[in-house]
Amino acid sequence: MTATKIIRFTKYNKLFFSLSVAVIFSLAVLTVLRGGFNFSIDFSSGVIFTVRADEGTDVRALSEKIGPLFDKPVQVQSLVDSALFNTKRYSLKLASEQGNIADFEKESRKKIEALDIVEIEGSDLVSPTQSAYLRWQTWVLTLSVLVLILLYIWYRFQLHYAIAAIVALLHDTLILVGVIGTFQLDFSGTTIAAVLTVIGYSLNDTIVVFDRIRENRMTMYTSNLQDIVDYSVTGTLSRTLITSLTTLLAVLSIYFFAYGSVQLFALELIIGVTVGTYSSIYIASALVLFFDMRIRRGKEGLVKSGSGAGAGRSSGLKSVSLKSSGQLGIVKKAESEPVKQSAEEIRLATEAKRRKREERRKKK
Amino acid sequence: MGKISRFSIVLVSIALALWGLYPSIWWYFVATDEEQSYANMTRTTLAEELRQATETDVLEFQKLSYEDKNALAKDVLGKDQAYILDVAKRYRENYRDVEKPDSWTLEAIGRMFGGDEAGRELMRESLEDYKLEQILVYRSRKNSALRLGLDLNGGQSVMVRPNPDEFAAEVDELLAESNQGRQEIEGYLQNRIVASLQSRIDQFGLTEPEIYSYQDGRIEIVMPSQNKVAGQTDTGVVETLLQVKGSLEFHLVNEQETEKLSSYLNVNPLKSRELSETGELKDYKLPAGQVIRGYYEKDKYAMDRLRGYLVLESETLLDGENVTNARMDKDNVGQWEIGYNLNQDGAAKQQKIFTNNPGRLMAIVLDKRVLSYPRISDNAGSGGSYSGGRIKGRFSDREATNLVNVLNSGNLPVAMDIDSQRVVGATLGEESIRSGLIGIAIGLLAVVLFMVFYYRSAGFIADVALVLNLFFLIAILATMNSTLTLTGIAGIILTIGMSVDANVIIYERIKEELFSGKSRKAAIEVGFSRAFWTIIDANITTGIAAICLALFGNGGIRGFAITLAWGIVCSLFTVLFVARLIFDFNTDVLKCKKLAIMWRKISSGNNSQQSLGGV
Repeated sequence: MTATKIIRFTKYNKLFFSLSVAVIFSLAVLTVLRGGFNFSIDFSSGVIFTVRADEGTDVRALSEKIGPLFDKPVQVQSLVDSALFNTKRYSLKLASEQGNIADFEKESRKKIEALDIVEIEGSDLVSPTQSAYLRWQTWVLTLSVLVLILLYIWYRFQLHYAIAAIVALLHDTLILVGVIGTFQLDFSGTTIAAVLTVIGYSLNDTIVVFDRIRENRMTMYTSNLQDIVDYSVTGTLSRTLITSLTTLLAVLSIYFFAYGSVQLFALELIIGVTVGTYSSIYIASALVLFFDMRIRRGKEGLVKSGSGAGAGRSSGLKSVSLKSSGQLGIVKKAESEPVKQSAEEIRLATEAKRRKREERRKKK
Repeated sequence: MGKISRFSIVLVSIALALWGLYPSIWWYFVATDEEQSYANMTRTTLAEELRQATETDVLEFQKLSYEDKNALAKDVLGKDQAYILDVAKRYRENYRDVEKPDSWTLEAIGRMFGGDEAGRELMRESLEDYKLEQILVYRSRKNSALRLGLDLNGGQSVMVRPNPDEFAAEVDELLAESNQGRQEIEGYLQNRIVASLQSRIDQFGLTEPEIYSYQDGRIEIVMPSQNKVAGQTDTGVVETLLQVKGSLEFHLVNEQETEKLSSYLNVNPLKSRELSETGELKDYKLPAGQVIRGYYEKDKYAMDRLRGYLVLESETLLDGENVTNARMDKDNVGQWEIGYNLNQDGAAKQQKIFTNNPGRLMAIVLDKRVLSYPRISDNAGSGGSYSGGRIKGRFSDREATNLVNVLNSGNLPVAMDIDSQRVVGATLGEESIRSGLIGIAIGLLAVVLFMVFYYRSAGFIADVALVLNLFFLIAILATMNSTLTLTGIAGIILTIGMSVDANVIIYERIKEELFSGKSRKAAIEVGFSRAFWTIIDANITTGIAAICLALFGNGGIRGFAITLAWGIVCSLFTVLFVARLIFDFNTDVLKCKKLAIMWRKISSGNNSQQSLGGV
């Protein structure tokens, strides 16, 4: 790896940040323009029928024939037929707030069967009580996942790593959900599963990079944080790309061999894995760098006001920064101060841990 | 740890996994259609089927005996009756005082059980026990096999909850007449609802519905597809199951007619097969307004066994709607007695019955089967109250519980609201499972080929780990008795893609170490140890997401999350433990010096860059 060029990922931080913000913003606007999310019956109660139809029919024909039977609009979707499925299948979504949803299902079933153009193969129904419960459950689920992850990374790394990771996760989630809203894809329980899987996956990438950053901060003879981050991201780049590739290979095979909600799930994962890979390379590590710089500047400010020692350090920083070639040469052991800086951090951290441990012991 | 002990751990895990997978393999690949249908039947249907099958076998045996009584059993018995010989031998084993025949001729077997009517019945019962034991083995295998979810198998599932208003009203009512706390009453009522649904299950012929009760009061009823061929699901089943009114009835027993009937049946034993649904026997005259019903007792396998026939007066005295609540108590001599409460209408009716028919037998009939026939005692209505009653008798624990459940099953105490429902046609399920399996195969193939292509022989080791990972994963899912759904399959495929990640992290590390000039052994050593915590951290966070999904998610999502969570555990084991072992084996035993892990050559010039630090 040492012979590889170091890619200056952090150089265009601002560009990528603004790009992400712009994308999230426009997706949000588009979602609002399209009338919000297309909630599935999981969250807005109703009935979905899975039907099979003859070769001759299509979505439009079905909508025209079935639509007039009901007061509320009927959503007809083609369950993308792959070569593996012999028959054409469609889903018919009927929203209903009716309390006794089972009766509604029976009536609708009769109406549709009377038309004699499709054969009902399956049905799903969710009552208003249940969908309210599912909405509540989703919030609990998502929040608890995020909080637990925050706590774990805080425990294993430091708080600002955890915050950076969570921001990156929010970034992934917003983009994924934005795409779902913009293209009016079904927003169902499976979508939540997809979002949480993407969170887990993207975090996986992020942590591998963080791990390397932490390690390099202790071992590299430079204190230029930007270099360390770039070096770490480059070092883990092939791993990030290969894992994304194998995951995408697997998810693509789900996409091609499933139908309906599982196929949609695969599509959401494809988007999520791609965005997650991007965010762990460009967003998460850049955020750690950003926070680190802020912390350091804060400390330097303190030191400066105390003595004049800070001046020498900033020049030291410059002296080890990389040449524009982007090649990380053999860096001589730089002035001891910058190293001390990170060593001091480590010392502080271990001391804090030791104190905590002692406190715990005292409590016992 | 030495290589040998590590290797033994791997072997033991593989053996355990095979053991866990055995029932699933048997159920899906070995079991015949007949064995499967026997295992799927409700106990009631099974008891009926068994009785008829063994009756036929006994008749066949008798026919063969008439033809040639000295023929050897093993020569003349057909495929379906061959087990009679085994049963006879076992019977001899169990009853040593029975003389061992010189040769197992048909006559010898017949004589062993006794040639008369009772002997025939004894033989039939022995055959029935033998078959039942086999079927119970099928059942236990089926129950420990990996289940297929609704979306793969077809069928219907409903999630119901007690109507909150009715539930609250019922709780208040019960609270008023008892001294227990609200929470206990709620728990009791919930259990009663579930028990009531459970005892109704038996009415549903060929496939047993499953009932799951959740903490929050919801109840899920899963009804697998009844008929695979037609691809249709019987949507009526759940409706019947949830009907408030059950088929519980009370009838008076006509003792005289019952005696007449039993002596008639003793002479004509096979006649009983001609008993119609309406309770009439062909060629047997009953006085008007009388019906014949079978009397059943639950045996030790909780199967309803036919014990005889009763003649009942067809007028229904009380029905399930009248019974509001039944419970079991110990009386002052420690015997179980079953108490039941009646509503106003029921109390009025009971008063009339009791005063008009003291000392007669009253049959409790569920779904046209007599399950108990206590005698009406003279002082039943003592204290002037007929709003309830007590049934006394020498009940065992099992019998008492059964009777309480039967009385309670008469009507659901509260109506149930349907929260969600799912119906999947069997054809749709079949196509889903086929495409799911192809999805797994293609995904696996793509990843396996990629790894070999990119990492060469090290990639092959990763592939071995990957395949083992899948094997362990499926074995764990089967052992945990979990249900495989389409989303679960998606979880498996995702595991295929993500679990090579651990390999990738390690291999990229090893590559770096090789570049810095380390030997094969040292590079592997450092690669694995450096990557260890990264892999743990990365997987724990994915695990957090998966576990939360498994805990809070519903239905399909839970299946996905469980698969994903176990996929993580299995991949950690196969990569960190098994793959490492293979590497070490190649280094130490096969004396490999080089490591084929990449296409690029390591130029010696790179050594000078070692000083960059242990990256």
